[in-house]
Amino acid sequence: MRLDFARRTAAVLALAGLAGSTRVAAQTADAPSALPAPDTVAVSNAVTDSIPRLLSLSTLEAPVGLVSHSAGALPPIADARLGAVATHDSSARPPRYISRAIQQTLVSNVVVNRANAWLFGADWARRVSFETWSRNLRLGWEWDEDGFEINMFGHPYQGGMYFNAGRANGLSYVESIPLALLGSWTWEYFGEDLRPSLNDLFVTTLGGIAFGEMAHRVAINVRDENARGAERLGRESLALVVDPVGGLNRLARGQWTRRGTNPEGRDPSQFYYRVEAGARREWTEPDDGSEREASPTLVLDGGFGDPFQRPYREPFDVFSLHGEFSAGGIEAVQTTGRLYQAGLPDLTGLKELGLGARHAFVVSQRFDYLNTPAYRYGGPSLEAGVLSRIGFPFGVTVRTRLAGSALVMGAINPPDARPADDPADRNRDHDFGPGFGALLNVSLTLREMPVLLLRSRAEYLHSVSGTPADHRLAFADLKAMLPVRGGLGAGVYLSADTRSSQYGREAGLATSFFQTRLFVSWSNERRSRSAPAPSRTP
Amino acid sequence: MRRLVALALPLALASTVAPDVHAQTGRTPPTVRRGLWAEAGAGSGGVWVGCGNCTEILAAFGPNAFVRAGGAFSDRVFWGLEVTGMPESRGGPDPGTTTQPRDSTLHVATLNVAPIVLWYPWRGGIFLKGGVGVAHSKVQMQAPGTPTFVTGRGTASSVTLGVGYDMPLLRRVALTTQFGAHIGAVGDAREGTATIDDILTSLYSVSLGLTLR
Repeated sequence: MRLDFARRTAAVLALAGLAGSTRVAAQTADAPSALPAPDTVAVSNAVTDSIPRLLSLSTLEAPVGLVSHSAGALPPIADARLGAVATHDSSARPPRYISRAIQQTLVSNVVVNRANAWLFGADWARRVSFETWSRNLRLGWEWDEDGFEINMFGHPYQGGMYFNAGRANGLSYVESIPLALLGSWTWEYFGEDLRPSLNDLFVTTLGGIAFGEMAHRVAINVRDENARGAERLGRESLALVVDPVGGLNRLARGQWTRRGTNPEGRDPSQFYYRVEAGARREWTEPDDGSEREASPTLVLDGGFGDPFQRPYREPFDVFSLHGEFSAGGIEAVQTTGRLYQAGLPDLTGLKELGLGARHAFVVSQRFDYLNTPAYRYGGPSLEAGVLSRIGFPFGVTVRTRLAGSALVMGAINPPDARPADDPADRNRDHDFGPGFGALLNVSLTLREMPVLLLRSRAEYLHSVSGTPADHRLAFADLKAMLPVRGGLGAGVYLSADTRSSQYGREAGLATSFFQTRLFVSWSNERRSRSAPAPSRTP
Repeated sequence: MRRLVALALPLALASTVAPDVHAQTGRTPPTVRRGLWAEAGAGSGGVWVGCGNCTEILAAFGPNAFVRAGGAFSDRVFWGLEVTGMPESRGGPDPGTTTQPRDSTLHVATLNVAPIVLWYPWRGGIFLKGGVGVAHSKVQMQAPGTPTFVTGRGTASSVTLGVGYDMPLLRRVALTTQFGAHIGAVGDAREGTATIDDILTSLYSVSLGLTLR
């Protein structure tokens, strides 16, 4: 069944990458394309050079001696001309093998399809034929009916494989985007016996770009071109898990053992993380009658880079990841990657008061997957807004993030009591449509450790699949944390989620979800970073 | 589909004209690929309309026009905004999906606005185009299983894809041929008890334009 699609895809991705890279390695006539002369302004490396680099072997080890600038001594935000977006790639890229990247993208689809057909006996893969191809080309697109988890989680992972076929072959972030689209497009038409799914095209492509680029950058930092022996093998193997296509390409090119220079973008000291383990109580309104016992939760926040200390050089050179897990499974996965940043003048007058105030305009790519008792919601979006960092005396810092977002293709589950004129709609797992939103986050840090976080967000989605409907979501949470010793801390968390869905002229349907949580945390956050991790949502 | 192929052939032949012209003059103008650019053109396209409760696909063919403009990330990657439109065109069942005789049972018009990225993978003029934007479509068709004609209008996200080729005429002027696709959603349409579920439109077009840089 297609519900196993994601699991099977994950199981055969290594095989797909191996097939692609092995086949490519056998070709001798694929000469790399010459790199074009970049038409960019050189970006100052003063800030990054000033950050002491970790000598530790661990990617996620707590950074030591990192920046603790006083409020007024922060270096200026270095801006990059727009021309830097596509051509300046700080990773030590191999030569650009465009044909190989395209081949690997297409071959991976063949391998995934055949592996599912021959190894797992999946009907949707076995029944692919010239007839199904012809039918798909004639009948065109539809909204599919896969489960929410498959559509919003499994497909972005697959899209990341397509995207990284480009990154692994020397293509930049922008140049790899067409590969994500190509892979998804050809899969929808030719990879399954079902009609091509429009929502999959959006989610696989856009979600794949976000997940793929993050995986690519994490893998760069896991690898160490100067390592040897068992350490080198361990790093390359771990990077293979994170970025299978990149890892297998390196294996085929003999880069697992070859020593060399690490890419400029490799800086493990830029990683930060926080793990929160605790228990929560939750309740919904209207009361669904379920038991309200305390349940365990696990929250992971992490990322790479601080937008106020890492000048913009290329897309996703600063990114963050947020995950929430409970006894019921994955409740949230949210990613945000910086696409562009430019400094803004201080119009607030805070600098004249002697406070260190810095502001930046940031454009980010975001992907949300949310599965709560109030709603299931997700999709790729583009966010633009203003980040601010204000330094007060005694090591107190306030950060804010105010942004608006455009949801390209979102998905939301219909409420249980949804009216359905069409009986077919009653069986639909979720509705699709575009939307927009806004968020405001405020954080208070004391000597570079977050102590208070306030997040709020509102989203609107207009579903165009199924019965037309307008969905409005609102979210707010407050987290207070107390550092105990070193990276150890404790805290309390409160949140409220609300959804309201309007189907035609029917009365609006509203559901709310509240939770309180106590937790113990461990983090390596010794330094200021961006405004808090992505809102849990909506 | 045959119409599109028939229309593509003259464009393909036209793509050979520019190189011949250059051969006659003895020189090929170097192509400038940086800075701002703008393109306008027209062509012919077909819109295939499907729906969740349809047993056949309807198609309408007609002219389409576009305007694009933007800047450059590099000499290989360009950004821009594209507006593509196809005025109301009439059509009927796609012969490949039904045995019914063709009749004017479909009226469709579509307008697509999307930020786009153009990527020139190689030194030549071949480029790939992609973008995500907004499409507004109007579809009038017969509701499946009923004699009722229903009109549906919808604005939703759309995907834009394309492949094309720039034929340099002058240093900053090129003749651009392109095959493009725009896929958008209309949503449901209802008229009384007659319902058309989940209308999706797929516009495929071939076009010829003039690009200025």
